[in-house]
Amino acid sequence: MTDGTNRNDRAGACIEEMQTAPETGETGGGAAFADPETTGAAQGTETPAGPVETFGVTCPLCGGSLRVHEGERSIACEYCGSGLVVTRPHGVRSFMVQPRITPGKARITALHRLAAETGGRVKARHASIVDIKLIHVPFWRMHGRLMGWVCGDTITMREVDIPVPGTQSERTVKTVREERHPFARLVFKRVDWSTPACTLRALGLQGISLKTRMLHWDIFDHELRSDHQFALPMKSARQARGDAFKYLTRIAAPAHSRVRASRFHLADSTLSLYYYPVYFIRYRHAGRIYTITIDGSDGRVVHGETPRRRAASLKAMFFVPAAIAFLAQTFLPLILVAAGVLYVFDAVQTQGFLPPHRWLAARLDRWFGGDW
Amino acid sequence: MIGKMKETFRVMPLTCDHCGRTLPVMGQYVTFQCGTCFRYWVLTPDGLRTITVYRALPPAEIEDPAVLPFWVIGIDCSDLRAQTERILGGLRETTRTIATAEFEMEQDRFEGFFTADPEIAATTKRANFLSDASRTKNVPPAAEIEHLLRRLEGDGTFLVYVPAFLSINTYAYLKVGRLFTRLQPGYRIEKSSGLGKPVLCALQADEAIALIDYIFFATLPTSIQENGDFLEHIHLRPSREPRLIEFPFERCGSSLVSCIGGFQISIRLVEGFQAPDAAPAR
Repeated sequence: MTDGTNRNDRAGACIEEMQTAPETGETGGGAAFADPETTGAAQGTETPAGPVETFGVTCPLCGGSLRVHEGERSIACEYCGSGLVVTRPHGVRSFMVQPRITPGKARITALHRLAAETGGRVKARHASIVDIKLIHVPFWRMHGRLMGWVCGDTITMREVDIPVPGTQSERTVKTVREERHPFARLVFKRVDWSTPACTLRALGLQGISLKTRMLHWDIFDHELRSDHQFALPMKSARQARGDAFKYLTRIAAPAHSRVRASRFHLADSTLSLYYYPVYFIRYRHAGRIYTITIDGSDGRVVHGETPRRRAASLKAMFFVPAAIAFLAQTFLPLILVAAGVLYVFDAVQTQGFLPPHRWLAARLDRWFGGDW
Repeated sequence: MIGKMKETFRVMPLTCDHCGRTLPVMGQYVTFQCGTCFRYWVLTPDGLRTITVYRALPPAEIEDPAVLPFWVIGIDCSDLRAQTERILGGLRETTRTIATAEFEMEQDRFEGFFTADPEIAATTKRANFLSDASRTKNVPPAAEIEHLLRRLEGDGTFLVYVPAFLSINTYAYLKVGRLFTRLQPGYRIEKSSGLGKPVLCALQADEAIALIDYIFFATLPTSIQENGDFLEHIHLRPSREPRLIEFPFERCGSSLVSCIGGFQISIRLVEGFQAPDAAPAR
């Protein structure tokens, strides 16, 4: 079986550090108090165009329904024109995106994928779809600004020549020596982290940070639970926040370094839960069940298992008979000796000799029952 | 767990608590000015709070300067000095204890080794060992510490400048804040009064206080920044309420030159100052 995981999704998952500021070398030149997704294209930087994350509120003066863009602190009511202050939300906001791919389209995509992966060997008539499930998979996403300081030692291994100990000659031997160089780094950057909130086999998606910027997300309505299948988050918000902080602070230090001390502060951070639609398609081929996962939003295959033809192995062709021959040569004489001893023992016990084939039938009958 | 995932954000009318007039919508900025009573308001986690905004006066007259807001936070120098001396004392004592204990423990082994191989000078070996042992706890270079303490000794006021303007680049806060804080410039301030250009402050005071440690660290020499044993125990404590001060900058091509301090920053680091009379349109 092959793992057809889409590598793009894996790579773009856990953290996305957006632009690199040429002057500062900062990774994640994100908005300080507003995401690029809300501020639009900024000077000298590129931000993905498209819908932005919003959340709905109700005007306390006229009751009108308003949409507040992430990062906005004050808005004007579209209906009564009054100015409103938006205080930062506490708790966790949940969003969902409606699937744009129908089950039929997902099925066709899966069959195309199957045919492509097997080189046309397995087509629609060779595989029967067992079931298609649309599941809204939860993802934790945290974005904000990470500020901090970290210091320690970067460790490099260097090959050096040293004189041979105990000799006066100029002979040298090569040895690997660990070199440590102190470093200090001040981190001021925008971070965007996401991770699946549940464990699903064959999910294929590792994060959805990029998708949160590109898609139009709706407020998650808990009443939808009766109409749709939602996977339950298995990781609590506290755990997710802890994981995010641990991950983000770990990557703040350079690679191959030992951190002596650090201090970090996450400002303006928002932890949200995103439900993303994914089709899980199970199909049967040659008596076995395989799974293909289709992205419910853009219809791409994010994970796929395809039957693989068993190729004759030259190693197996040699080693299996060799092993059988070895075992036969080793154990067959022992079995024959044991059988002979047992035959003599039975003859002594019954005080009469039976022909070997009749003795064998009687012995098997005694051991296993039945008619031999 | 799902039950707890409830949105608890609040929306409140944006009105001046003093005269009742609706305040102008400022988008991502947190400061507002009433058009009737000219009071300034700042958004805090608890709601709107009135605030005094100051304006630093440029040393020379400048035509239409760009003004950028900063939170200026005074640091309790005596507390910081006491922290520094206490930490240094602790580090030196720990280093001495470790070095002495380890040297005594290893002495016998060295003596036997030296006897077996007389070519190796015992004194050299001991010196190397002591040098290694002294690194068990890093003590910052004495000259750097002296310099740091002298900076704090002045007139007892050490100000940390936290940029409060809107920037697409988070690192700008560290960069500009470090420049200003390192300079510790002298200037005169006056209260902003009357209806002028709105204050484009995008950072709340409590957020600014959370940044002062890092901006202060950025002003320190690299040898101290790399010293985790020393720096991880340093915590700056504000001695008074943060002040919101607008500083004048002169446009110079693609740069903004500070009228106070004389340093320059890229114009790209600052967002929205070119159209101060309007909130960023969405």
